[in-house]
Amino acid sequence: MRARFDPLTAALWTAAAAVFCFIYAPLAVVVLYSVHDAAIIAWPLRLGTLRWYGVLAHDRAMIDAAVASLKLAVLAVVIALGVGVPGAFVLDRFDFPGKAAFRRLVLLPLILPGIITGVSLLSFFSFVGLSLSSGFPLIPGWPVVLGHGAALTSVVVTQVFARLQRFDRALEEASADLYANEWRTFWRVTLPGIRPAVLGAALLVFTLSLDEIAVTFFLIGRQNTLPLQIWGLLRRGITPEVNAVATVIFALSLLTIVLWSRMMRDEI
Amino acid sequence: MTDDADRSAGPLAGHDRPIVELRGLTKRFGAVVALDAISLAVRAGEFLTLLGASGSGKTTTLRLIAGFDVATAGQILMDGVDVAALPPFKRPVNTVFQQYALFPHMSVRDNVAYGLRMRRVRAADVTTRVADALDLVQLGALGDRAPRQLSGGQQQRVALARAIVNRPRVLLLDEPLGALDLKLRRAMQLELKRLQTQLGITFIYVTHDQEEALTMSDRIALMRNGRIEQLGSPTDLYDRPRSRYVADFIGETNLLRAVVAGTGAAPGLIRVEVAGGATLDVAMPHDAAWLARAGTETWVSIRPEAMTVCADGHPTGTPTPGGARPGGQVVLAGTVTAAVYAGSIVKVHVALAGDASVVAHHTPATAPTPAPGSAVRVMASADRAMLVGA
Repeated sequence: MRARFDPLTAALWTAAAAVFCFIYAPLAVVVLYSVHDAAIIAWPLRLGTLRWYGVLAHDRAMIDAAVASLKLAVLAVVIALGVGVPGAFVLDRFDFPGKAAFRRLVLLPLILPGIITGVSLLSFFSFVGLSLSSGFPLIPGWPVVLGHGAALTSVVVTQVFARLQRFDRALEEASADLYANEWRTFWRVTLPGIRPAVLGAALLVFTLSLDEIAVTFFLIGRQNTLPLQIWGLLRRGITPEVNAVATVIFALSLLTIVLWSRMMRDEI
Repeated sequence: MTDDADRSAGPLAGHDRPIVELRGLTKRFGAVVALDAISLAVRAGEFLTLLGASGSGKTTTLRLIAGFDVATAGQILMDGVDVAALPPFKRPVNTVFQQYALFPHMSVRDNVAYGLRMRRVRAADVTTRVADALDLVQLGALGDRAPRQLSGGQQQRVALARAIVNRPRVLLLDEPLGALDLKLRRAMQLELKRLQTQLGITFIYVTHDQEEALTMSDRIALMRNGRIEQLGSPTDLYDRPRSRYVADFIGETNLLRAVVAGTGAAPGLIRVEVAGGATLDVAMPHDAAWLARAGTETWVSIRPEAMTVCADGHPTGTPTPGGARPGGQVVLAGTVTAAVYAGSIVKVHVALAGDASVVAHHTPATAPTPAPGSAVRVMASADRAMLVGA
């Protein structure tokens, strides 16, 4: 049976295609120019060189920045999970005065412009006397690590709290009824039940930390993060190397999304 | 109202030492009293049902026994030891949950093995016991499935296997058949009863379905407003309801407002005056002497199937319409308002004097069904007309 031509359906398809173009055409341009065989980014495209990736591979500052960003993102995930998961449990399981207000306040770092969070954290760390470069070169600096952790904990709290609200508490009762103490019940029943939310939040925190600029800008010490390094390069104009690094990040993000959706498919 | 009923003979009356005993068990949620100082002795090996409407306290009682909630006051004795302060994982009972609460991320086999593994039973023993338990509930072939791949009835069996594999002496069941359709529920009722008898496990079973309770139980505790309204065998509750509430909750009945007039014409009978002026001699419940005082306002309960309807003027052998004969019959005069066909019987609605009305189950095979508007007499044997508390 052949579908008849329907103007409304055609219009919808056109709109959908336009949206996809709008979102992905810039990415395509970046990818194409990363293999563009000329130092100046201009028509006509001369595709078919990997030399900008070669330049990238020998750019010490860029690699240092990338390593710093990865360390920062991993530490931000550790802090945000370490504070956020217990926080979500407290919100779900206990009643305390001011709980409703706290539930809204915990979202504040997400809503607040990064520049405000950045300024306030900067004055806080100078108030407590923590140097922006403390911890360097092992980590990019404690203030920026703590700053990312603090700003992104709310992501974990909201995601995990939402999952806990839907979690069937009878499962925990069943576990307790079958001789498992609280600790074993947590590891064997509760945690597997909220694992998708915990992993999802971790991935989100990792991604948000990786491309964070506003808070990072205020708190960074001696070592630039990747977004700041790229931003610094751009001040001298868009170089083909920037297109190469953007393409690498794009490819890694794509890989993460694919891995993530495969992981989620096996979850309940 | 509970202590004397414990002495009523159940099928296991010989076992004196209760396996579970509740003493003055009370649970308050804020200002709400969910359970009001109930006392109950559960005998080893019996099938005891906590029956009641929602909010009657039956599920609260079960949750307190399991340890999911903490009692406000009172004791829970298991084999004579107070377990009220123990967490659920230290209590020798297992539970079958209303929505089954199967662990969704584990296979059927791992679900069933969970309790054994938590108690560190040897792996080889776990394998055999899990296989045995799954066979017992006829799910031997489905061990590798995930719970969500099973039908409701199969999930129910997994929940059962997961509990009984631990060989508990007491199994708590919280409306385990509530989510199943009627036909499956009936089949599972028989199945559960068979398992209970076969394994010799004490069942404490919560349901709001009186028919289910009557089918399976050795004894029923009918709960109301956080108290036990009546405790006894299904026959006790059906034939000798203690109160108007019990009579009404268990099965169908006709309730007639009555005032006690004095003793009846024979031992065990008591004379009452029902609304409309008729005087009847009715049976007195064995343990409700307080009802017998003249002037007490109370109720007479007569089951529809205990009544026969006769056309007025038809020879009945009962000479005094509206009255009674020693050890004989209760007779009420009235007018048929409707005759409703219900398959094997016809439900005959009869309006009596004084705004009262009754429903009698008439068997069309024995006599013609009286037509609406005709004057009739409704009769019941006096020992099936019960005086019940208000």
